Amino acid sequence: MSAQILEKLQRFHEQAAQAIQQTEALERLQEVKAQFLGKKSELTEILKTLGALTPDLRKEIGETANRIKGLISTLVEEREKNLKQVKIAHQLSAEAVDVTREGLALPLGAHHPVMQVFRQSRDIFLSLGFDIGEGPEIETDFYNFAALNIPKDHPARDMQDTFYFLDGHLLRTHTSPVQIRVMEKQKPPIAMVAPGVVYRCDSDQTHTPMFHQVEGLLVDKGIHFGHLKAVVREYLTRIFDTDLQLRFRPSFFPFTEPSAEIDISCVFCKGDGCRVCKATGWLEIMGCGMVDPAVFGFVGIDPDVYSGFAFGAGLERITMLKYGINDLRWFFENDVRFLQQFV
Amino acid sequence: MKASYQWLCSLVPGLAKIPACDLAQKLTFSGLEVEGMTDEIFEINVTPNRGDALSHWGLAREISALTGLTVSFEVNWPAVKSTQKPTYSFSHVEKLGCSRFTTSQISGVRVAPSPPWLARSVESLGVRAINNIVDATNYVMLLTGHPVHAYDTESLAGPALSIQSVRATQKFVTLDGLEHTLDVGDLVIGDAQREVGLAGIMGGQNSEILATTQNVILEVAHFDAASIRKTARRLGIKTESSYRFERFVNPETVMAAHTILQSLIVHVAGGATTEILDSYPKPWTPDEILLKADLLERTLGYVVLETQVESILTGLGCRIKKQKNAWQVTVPLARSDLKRPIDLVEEVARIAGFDKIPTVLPHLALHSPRESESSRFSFVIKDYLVGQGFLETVHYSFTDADTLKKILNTQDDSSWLYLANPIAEDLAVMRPSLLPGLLAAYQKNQVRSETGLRLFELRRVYSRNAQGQITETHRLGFLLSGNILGRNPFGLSRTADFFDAKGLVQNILRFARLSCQSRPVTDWPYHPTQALGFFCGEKLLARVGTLHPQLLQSLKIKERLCYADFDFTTLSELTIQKIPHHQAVSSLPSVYRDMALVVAQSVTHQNIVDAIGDIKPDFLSSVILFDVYTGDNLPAGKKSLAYSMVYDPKITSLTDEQVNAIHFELVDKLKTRLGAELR
Repeated sequence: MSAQILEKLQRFHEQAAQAIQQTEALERLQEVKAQFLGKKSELTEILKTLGALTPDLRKEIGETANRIKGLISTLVEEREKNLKQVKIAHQLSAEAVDVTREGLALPLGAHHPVMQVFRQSRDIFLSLGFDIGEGPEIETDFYNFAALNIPKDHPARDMQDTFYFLDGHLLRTHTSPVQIRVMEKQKPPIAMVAPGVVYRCDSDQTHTPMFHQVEGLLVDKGIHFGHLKAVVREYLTRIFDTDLQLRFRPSFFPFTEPSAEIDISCVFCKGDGCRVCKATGWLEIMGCGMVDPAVFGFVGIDPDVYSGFAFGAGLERITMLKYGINDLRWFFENDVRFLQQFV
Repeated sequence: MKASYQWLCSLVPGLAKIPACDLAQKLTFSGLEVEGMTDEIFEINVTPNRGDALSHWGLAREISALTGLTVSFEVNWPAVKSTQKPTYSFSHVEKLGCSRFTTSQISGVRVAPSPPWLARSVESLGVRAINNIVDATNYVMLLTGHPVHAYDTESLAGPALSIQSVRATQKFVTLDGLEHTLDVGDLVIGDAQREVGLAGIMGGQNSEILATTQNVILEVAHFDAASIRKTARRLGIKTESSYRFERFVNPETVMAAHTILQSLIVHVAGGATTEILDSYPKPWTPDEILLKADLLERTLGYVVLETQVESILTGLGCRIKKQKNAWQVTVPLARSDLKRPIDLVEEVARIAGFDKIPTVLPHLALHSPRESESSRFSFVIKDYLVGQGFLETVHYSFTDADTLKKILNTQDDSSWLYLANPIAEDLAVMRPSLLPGLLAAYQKNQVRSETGLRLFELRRVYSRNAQGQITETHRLGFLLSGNILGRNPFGLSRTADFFDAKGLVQNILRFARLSCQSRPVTDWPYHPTQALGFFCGEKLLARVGTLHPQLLQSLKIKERLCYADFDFTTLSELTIQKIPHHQAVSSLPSVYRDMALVVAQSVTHQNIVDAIGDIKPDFLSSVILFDVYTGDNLPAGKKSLAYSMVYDPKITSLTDEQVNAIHFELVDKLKTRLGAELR
C-alpha cells in the first residue's frame, strides 16, 4: 500500500513540474500553484490519508510528501521569477522609442546680446562693490556738459554731436550725467557704475544714433591711477572671460585729467595680428582717467581731500568683439534669426 | 590733421634716425594719436586741448620733449630787410577780442603758380595749391600754426585797417563766393569804407589776391577763441584758420610767423617789404604753477624721480625753480592747456608712460551695493519671459510721427517730445509707447516664422505729462502670435490667443507678489471685447488683450496678435519682497467634486468665482475651470462651465455624505444667485 502512495506522490511531482513548466502567464501560475499546493490539492488529500498508516510508514511517506511539496514550491518560485523577467523584457522591447527625435518643449527665448553684456557688466561691478546708478535719458546742458567741464562754445563739444529738443533739453550723449547727480547727493566714498542708453547724432557703419554705455566712478581718499588700472583690468578680463594685456595711451577728455584710452590685446588673434585688429594686435576698447578737479568743483567735493577715477565703455563694441558680430546695425534690426543666436 | 615726416625732419635735426613708423608710435603714446600714415604723411588725431600741436612747429616741440633732440626754427630762404615805408596804418581796440595784430605791406609782387617745392608742400598736406601768395600764407600756417591773411592793397580803401565789431546785421561775401549774414558782435576786419575780412575765419571776396595783384597787405593776428568759435559755428563755416583759433594760437610767436611770411613771399613772388607794424597792447604773460611732489604721488600712485620730473618739464619748454617738495613752474605760452598743477601731473604721467604706474586694486569698505528695485526686478521678469520662449528686442527710442499716429489711432501729439535735430525725418519723435517697435519687429519677422513669434521689450517711453514736465517711464511690452510649438509629430497645435497672454501677465504679477483686481478694458489698441486691465487700487498696472482688428487690417496683418503692456515703473515701486508664509499641508485626503453649470452667456467666470467666494463653502480650497462648452445640446443663449472643486478637511477625514451635503448646498445657492443649472 505504501508503494502505491509513493508512486502517486511521484506522479504528482511529475505532473506539477510539467504544469509549472508549461505555464506562460503569471496569473495562470498562481492558479497552478493553488492547484498543486493549495488546500484542495491532491497532495493535501494524500496527506489526509496518512492517519490510517503505521507510525513508521507515516513518517516515511510524510517525509517524502513534504520533500515533494518543497520541490514543487521551489519550481513555482523559479518559474515565477522567470516569467516576471520575460514580462519585463517584453515590456522593454515593446516600449522602445526613437530617441533620436526632437524633444518637445517650449523653444528657449533669448536676451538681446547687448543686454546680456549690459547685465554681465552690472553683475561684475556689483560683485566688486559698486552701486548701480540710473538717471534720466533726457538731460539738461548742465548735467551733460557744463558740470563735466565742457563749457558752451568749447571745441570739446565737437567730440559729441548732440540731439536737442526745442526747449533746450537734450538726449544725454554719455551716462556721465548720472555720476554728477550721484556726487551731488552722496559724500565719498562713492563707488558706482551707470549703465544705460545714450544718444549721438551719428549714423554710419560704425555708429548708430542710439547705443549703450557703462560708465563708472570711484571717489575716496587716496584713490590713484594705479587703482584705475586694476579695476578696468578686472572688468575687461571678466567681460571677455580671458586673460588680456592692457595698454593705456594718453588722451583727452574734459572731465578727467590725466586721461587715457585703453587698448586690449586682440581677443581674436591674441596679439598676432588679424583683420579685426587691423594687424596691430590691439583693440581700442574704452576711455578713462582721474576725475578732473573742475568736476569736483561742480559737486562740492574737495579735491585736496578726495580723488577719484572714472571710465566709460561702449557696450555695443564689447558685444561685437565678444560675439564676433561684424555690423553694429544688427543690434537694432531685431531680426529673429539674429536674436535667436544668443540663447 | 596731416603732418609731413620729412618736414618734421627738417625742423628737428637728427630726427631722420628715427623711422617714420617709430615716430608715429612715439607720438601716439604721448597722446597725439597717429591714426594712419601714407607716403610718410601722418594723419594725427589732435585732441581739442592740444591747440599747440596744430602745426609743424608745435609737433617739432613735442618731438623735442619726447626725444631730447633740439628744434631748429631756421628757414632755408633768405631773410628780408624792409625798404619801404608803410602807407597803411592799423587801429586796434584790444577789448574787441583781438590781443595782437601785426600788418605789413609788400609792393611789386608777381602773382604766379608756386615753385614746385612750395606747391608740393601744401598739397601733400591736403591744401590745394592756388598761387604763390596764397600758397605762402598756407605754408606759413602749416609750419607755424598761425593763420595769416593777404589782402590785395588796391582793393582796399585806405589808409587804415581796423578791427570792428559788427553793429547791425549785414551781408558779407567770403573768398569762396558764399554770402553770409553777419550778426551784431561778429568780428570783422574793415578798411575805411567796408568789411574786408571775417576776422580769424575767412577773408572777403572783395579783397582777395588776384592774378593781377601787385601789392599786398599782410595780416598775422591773434583772435579770441570763444568769439571766433561762436561766429564760425553760427555761420556754419569751418576753415583751417577758424579751427586753429578756436583751439589755440600763440600770441607770442605772431611776429616770428609774420617775419617768415614776408621773407617767403619775397622769395617766391618778389617785391619789397615794409617793416611789420605790431600792436600788442597787453602782452600775455606765461602762467606760473606750483607743482607739489605730493600731488604727483597722490594722483599716479607712485613716486616719479625728481630728476625725471624736471627733465620732462624742461623738455616741454617750462622753466622750473626747485622748492622743498615742489617746483615753481613757468609754463610756455604755447601750451595754453597747462593752467593748473593737475595739468602738469598729466604731462609728467604721459611722457613718463602710463605703463610705469603700478597696478593695484583699491580698498573699499565692505557694504551692500545699491540698485533700484526697478533694475533688480527687470532681470527677474526678463528671465521669466526668456524662459517662456520670448526674444528680447531693442528698438530706437525715436520713431516716426505718422506711423505713431496711425498705430495709436490719434492725431493728438501734444504730449509727444519732438527732436529739434533728428537724424532722419522718420526718427523725429521720442516714442510714447512700445507698441510701434514691437509691431515693426513683428512685421519684419513674420514672413520667416513658422513657429509663431514671441517678442518683448523692457525699456523707457517718453512724453510730457499734464503739468508739462518731461517724464520717462519704464514699460514692459510683449507680443505673441501663432503656434509657438511649431509643426510637430504629436499633433499639438495651439495658436496664441488672449488666454496665453493673460496667463503670462498673471504670472508676472505673481512674481511681484501683488494682489490686483482685473476688469475688462475697451480702449485702443485692444479688441474691445478681448482685453483686460489689471489694477492695484486705482493704478492701472497692465493691460492685456488681442489687438484691434482695425489696427491689424490697416497694417495688413492677417493673424491674431496678442499684446500686453505694463507700467513697469509703478510695478517695481509696488512690488513686495514678501516672504511666503508656510501653510501646513494636511495629511488628510482631499475630496474632489466636479460640477458643470449651465448659465447665460453673459455670466462670466469671475461672476461664478465671486459667487462661490461669497457663499464660502466649508473646506473648499480650490476651484478650477476645466471645460467650457457652447453647442447644440444646450438651450440657446446658454453656455456650460465645468468646475473641479477640491475640499480639504482640516481635522478629521470627510465622509462622502458630508462633502455631498456641502457641495449640493453650493450648487443650490449658485442656482439662486446666478440662475445656474446643473448639467
